[in-house]
Amino acid sequence: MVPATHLLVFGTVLFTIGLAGFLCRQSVIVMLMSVELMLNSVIVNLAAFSQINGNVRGQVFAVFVITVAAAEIAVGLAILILIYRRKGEVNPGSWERLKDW
Amino acid sequence: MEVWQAAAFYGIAALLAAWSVGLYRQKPLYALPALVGGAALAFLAGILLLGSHAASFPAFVFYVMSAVGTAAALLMVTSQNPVYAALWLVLVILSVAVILVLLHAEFFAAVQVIVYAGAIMVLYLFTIMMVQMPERPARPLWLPRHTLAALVGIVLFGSICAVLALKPMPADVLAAGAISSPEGNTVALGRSLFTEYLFPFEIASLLLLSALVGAIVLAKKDPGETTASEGGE
Repeated sequence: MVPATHLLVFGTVLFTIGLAGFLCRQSVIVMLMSVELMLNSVIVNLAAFSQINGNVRGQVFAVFVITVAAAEIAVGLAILILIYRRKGEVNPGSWERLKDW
Repeated sequence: MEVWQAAAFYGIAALLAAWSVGLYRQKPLYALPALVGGAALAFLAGILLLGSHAASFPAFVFYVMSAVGTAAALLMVTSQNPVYAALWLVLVILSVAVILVLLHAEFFAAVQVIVYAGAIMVLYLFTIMMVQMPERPARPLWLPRHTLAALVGIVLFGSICAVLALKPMPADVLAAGAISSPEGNTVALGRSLFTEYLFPFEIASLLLLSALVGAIVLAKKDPGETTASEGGE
């Protein structure tokens, strides 16, 4: 017997860890991974609400979440590789000026 | 009440993970007894905090998997090497997939393993291999920024938990209003996706197409361009 609240708290824990990781990490790749962690917590919650309401709508939205995650990661990593090629490093502290590229 | 119960449980799981990894970084040999002791402690904490909640087998699996997921998420965020971070993220994704199976989202659990743990994580690992991280200069492990991030996280977590505590929720999510479709989860999901949500589905495919084109255009090398990593040196 798992109360629904325990599941939602698990989603909240994952989201919070992802948010804190995004805010405090220096490496861009780990920052993007933290975003993936937050999207995963949303997936857990959507599946839980789908189960609570007794229909598959939550799972349909989880499919859209995973689509957006895939698109985000493709474009984000392409930008990362582009920046690495131009600057030779991927430290977000060195990205104060993006304009002149 | 249940909210704080669960919060205490995940807090203990996270603390135990941090403890055993701290020991591992000092002396790898200590990790095994620490892990065994940590598992025993987590078991005790689970019995004390959750009591009869974890009595049935699916509930037990859920609590174990959510503790594993919490610990792995914490380790992902704190590991210095991005390759280790990616592997911890794979562990989080797999434990989430197990929880999705428990929630009767079997198709989505398979998608989670194939697309997330398979495709997206391979993309991450490729990028980590292509982008050589420079050796990081020694810097203090705990910066003011980290305190700020932890504060933001704690405030957000506390407020979401407070809101969750206000609203009455079903007492048993694994059984509550089980998605009843005789033909199974995949067929029900497909039917909903291609009838009720056809237009959002088309927009999602358009999004994927534009992301594909955008990624190719961004990452393609211009012929005459000199680069910092090749021509600049």
